[in-house]
Amino acid sequence: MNDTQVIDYLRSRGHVEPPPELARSVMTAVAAAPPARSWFSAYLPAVAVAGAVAIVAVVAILLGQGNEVGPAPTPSPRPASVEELQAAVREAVGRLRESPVEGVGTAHVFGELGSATWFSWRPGGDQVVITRSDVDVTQTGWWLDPDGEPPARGANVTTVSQVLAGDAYYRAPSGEVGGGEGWTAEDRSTAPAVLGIPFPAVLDGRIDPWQESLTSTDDGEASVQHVADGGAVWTLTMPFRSGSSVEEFDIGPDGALRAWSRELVDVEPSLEDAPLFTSVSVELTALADADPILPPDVDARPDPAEFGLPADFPLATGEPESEIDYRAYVEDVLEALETYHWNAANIDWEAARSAALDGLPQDADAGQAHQRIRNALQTFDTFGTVFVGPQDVPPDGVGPGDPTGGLPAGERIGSAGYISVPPVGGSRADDLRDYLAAARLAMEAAETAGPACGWIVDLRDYAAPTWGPPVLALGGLVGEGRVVTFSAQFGEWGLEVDADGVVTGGRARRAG
Amino acid sequence: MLVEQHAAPIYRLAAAIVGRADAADVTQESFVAAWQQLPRLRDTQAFEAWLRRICVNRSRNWLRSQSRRPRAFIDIGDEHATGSITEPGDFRRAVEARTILEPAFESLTPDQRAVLALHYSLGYSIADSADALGVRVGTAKSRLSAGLASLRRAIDSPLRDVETDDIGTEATS
Repeated sequence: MNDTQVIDYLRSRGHVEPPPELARSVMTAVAAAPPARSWFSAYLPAVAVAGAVAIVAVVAILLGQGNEVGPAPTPSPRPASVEELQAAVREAVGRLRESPVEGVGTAHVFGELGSATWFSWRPGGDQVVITRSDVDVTQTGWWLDPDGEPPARGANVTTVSQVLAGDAYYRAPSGEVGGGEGWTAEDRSTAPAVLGIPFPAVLDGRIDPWQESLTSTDDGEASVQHVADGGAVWTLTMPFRSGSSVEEFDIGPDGALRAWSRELVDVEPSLEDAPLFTSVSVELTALADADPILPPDVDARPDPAEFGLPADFPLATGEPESEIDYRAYVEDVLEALETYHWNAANIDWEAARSAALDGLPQDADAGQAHQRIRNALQTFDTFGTVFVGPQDVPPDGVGPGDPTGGLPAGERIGSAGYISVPPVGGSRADDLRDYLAAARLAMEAAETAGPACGWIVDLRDYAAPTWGPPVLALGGLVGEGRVVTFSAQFGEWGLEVDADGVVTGGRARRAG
Repeated sequence: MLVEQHAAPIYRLAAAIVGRADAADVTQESFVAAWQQLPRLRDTQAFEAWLRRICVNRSRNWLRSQSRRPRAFIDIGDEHATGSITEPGDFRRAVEARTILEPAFESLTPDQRAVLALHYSLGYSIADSADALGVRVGTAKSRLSAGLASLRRAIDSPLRDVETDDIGTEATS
């Protein structure tokens, strides 16, 4: 056996003739494949049907109405004080909380569905809250690019199930709908104040829906419009960052709140927003009768359907928990590590795989898989690689520990260039531009004495929800192609830089 | 027209990376993906390289998905192979080499398989191989080196260092 035979073998792999019918079968497949469509277009048929129904309904109304019969005229909105609005809403919430309540909410990021929340609440405060989030929509920072869009839609959906029952708080995060990590049970006093969108915490009296943005009643403008069915819609407009926040409270004829929504208008996207939501809405239904909330079976895999989650609840992946192959996930993680780890050439991958996979059952659950990944890391990693499990992720709304950062700085250390990459110091587009300009100057400063033989990139101070800024800052070093890879139990995604310096996945654009 | 022009080279690339048994499927997937993503292609002159990159990505994804499933068969031969076997002794040695090297090649990572296939099986230069993989030239070289090292270990016979650049002089892009 010699080199020639190895090379001959490799060459032989490409010396094959395609089957004669290949071109025809490919053309058939191409002709049968639908063109790539936008996310919105998937809903066009439903919109078209809805439009047709609406037209038919309007025609029926026009044909059927007599000369003196018709809907009562809707009065124009009248200005109101913020205090009036607050009193009306609090009364409506109080009326609602006399009965069990079920709610369905959605949150969008510039029109993209980012998360959906379903809850069932009881007057005593027991509740079930199930939230599905589309990671690509809410976490990747694509909104920083005016022309950006999420790397994917519906491909990476996480589910968090939370239950307050009796004295306990139960939580079950998962990468796929239906379960994964299993339940954790803690004392009820440890539960977060807000389990999901402002509801059902509003029902508990823990927060007001306007709490986040209304700092003073003098800042807000309120109005009320009575509607034909006897209800009323109150509107509260408040300044919010560079734009405004508009909340609507829809109170039914029975005096109970039946819907709430909030929309950010002309608010500039922020680097610190991850997740970011530009509109949130909730529909609330008072239940005449409902069973008490019972503790979940902590030994069973979480199943949101058990709590009554509607089958058509948004962001379902269609992948039941039992089909998740966590062993394959561990294998994928090892493969990604072997491909991308900075010290891959010096790692005993056989030992790492053995630590990760030996004895791991085919039907392993997420908890087992995560522990095996940690075991594998312990076999080789001295620093620089950590596994972040769901329990390690801060709750929504908790940002980096140090929100104030500096600017990248560079210097020469011997023959190597050194550049520090701190967090971005602000949340405006201008801050990012300044940051990237500083990074460019830092690299130039490190190369004033000639090209650096290598680079030391100091990321020790970097802590942020998005990797877009450091990738952009290091654009001159990382070149094109995939520069960051994330691996999660639902798959792998990353940030890629193309020839124009555009980052996809993280979705931010290089300035200058 | 485009399909007829590019189907054969894309098939060969897929066969070199994933094996002949799955090459037609990967080829088909690559063309479907290319057709769906065609509006994103800004430089139509770069179609061939763009399609090659799609094929490489599809091949790697295919390997990753296949690694999760038990193998139903082992591809032990290739009646379509058109290598330079001219003597009975060559044939024996080629079979011997394939018997040893086939499983070794299949044990490589998808990225290593791809770069070996691009450079040695299809004859692309290191630069073109790196382009198809979407990585820097240095990265492609290191993966090439690692892949060769694995094959060396498999045959348990030290090979001389291969001058990678002189193999790729037949670059076809």
